[in-house]
Amino acid sequence: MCLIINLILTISMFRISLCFLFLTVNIQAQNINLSESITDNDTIVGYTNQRSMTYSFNLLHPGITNSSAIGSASEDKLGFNIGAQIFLYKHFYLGAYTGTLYLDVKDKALVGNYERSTVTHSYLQLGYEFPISQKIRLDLNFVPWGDSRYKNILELSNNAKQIDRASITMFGAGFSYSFSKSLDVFVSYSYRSDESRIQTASQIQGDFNTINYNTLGIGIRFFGGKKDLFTEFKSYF
Amino acid sequence: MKLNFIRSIFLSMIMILTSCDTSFESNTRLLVKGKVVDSDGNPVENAEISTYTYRGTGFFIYPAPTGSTEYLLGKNVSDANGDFSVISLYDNSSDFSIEIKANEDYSEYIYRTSTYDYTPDDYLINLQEVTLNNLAQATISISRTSGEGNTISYSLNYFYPTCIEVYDEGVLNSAETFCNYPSYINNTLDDNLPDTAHTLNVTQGSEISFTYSINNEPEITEILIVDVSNYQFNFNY
Repeated sequence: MCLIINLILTISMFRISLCFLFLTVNIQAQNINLSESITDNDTIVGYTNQRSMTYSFNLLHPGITNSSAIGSASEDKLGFNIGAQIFLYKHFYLGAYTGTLYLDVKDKALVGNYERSTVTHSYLQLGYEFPISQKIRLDLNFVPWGDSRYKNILELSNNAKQIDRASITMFGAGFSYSFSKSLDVFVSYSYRSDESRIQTASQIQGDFNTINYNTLGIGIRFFGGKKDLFTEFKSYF
Repeated sequence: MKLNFIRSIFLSMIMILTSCDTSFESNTRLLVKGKVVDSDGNPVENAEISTYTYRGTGFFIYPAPTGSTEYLLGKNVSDANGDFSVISLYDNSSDFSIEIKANEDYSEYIYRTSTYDYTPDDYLINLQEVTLNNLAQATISISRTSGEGNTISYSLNYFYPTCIEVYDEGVLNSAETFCNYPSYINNTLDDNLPDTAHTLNVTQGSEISFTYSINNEPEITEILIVDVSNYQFNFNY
């Protein structure tokens, strides 16, 4: 039964992400049409540096901490993230991301007998971008809800596995630099906390409740549009 | 449209119900703890404690039938005081076991239970104090010195040192438990095979009952006390 529920949840999350991406693509297409008649210096929305949406890809160094049994037992590898942001009002944005991290287990005595975890995550993000200059932006963000799935592989040579699930909350900040009219390079830091659903003996439950990360990222971001979503909708009326 | 929907649901159910993956209980860790001592009550250091489950593999209908493939779910060793704790993955299995082994000087202990419809309270199995018997190797040599035509029929009765305890939902099942269970060897030596030797692993300090009859004479029984780790008994007829 749990398997079926998890499958439904995963499919639902995937569909939400697809809908979100579809929405941003549609809005971007409309913005491109509208922006054909305006220039970079237009003040049609009353401020500069406004964007409609972005698409990002970045590499992650997970930076799992030793605050949990899983953190103490694991050595993290590089991961990746892809996502999209849509600007709701001015520089406030909503983002949807998905990605994968990899953890190698170095001390099985702390977590059980498995060799590697593949951690896939999906989350929604709220944030605000501060345009420091035409090219540089400071980004502050918060993840109120997300889901992560730890696929624990017993042996790399067989198909035996076990799954742990967790809920994500995250705070982050980053800087981006615009190389062109549609491309940013950015670096980011985020403090991520995975509240796991692992149930175990009360004696060791505390070691499994929360898995923390100090994650560093570097990536590229494509952006487009010149109006936020609110302005976009307002223009229809 | 409706047909496609039904077909999708059907295919999804087939994918859920059939799998080549072996998956263990999600979001669960079991804690196994206890203390390992020898026959004299002294702690046994570096005893290896392992949890196993046995599963079928390949293309099957979930849940898998009991099979012969063994999966190690958790492992640790005892410390200098003989104390141990093992953090293990968990499996709903009709054949779940905890095995304790030290070096060749000690007997083995096996805790066996079904976790198919049972989860231990607080995800904890406390084995308390587990005694591994000090082992001895007893070599029984029987040789013919009386010439051709003489025969001997004999039996060796001893206790096999491995202890297998079977638990049903945390309660010892005495009927299926056997510790130091009786074993025996019956044999006859004649012109075809006049000499032989048996090497037995038994608990040090235990007794071996040697009963023999030479040339169909009345039986004689000797009690051999295995009081050293390398016990040797030579018998001529």
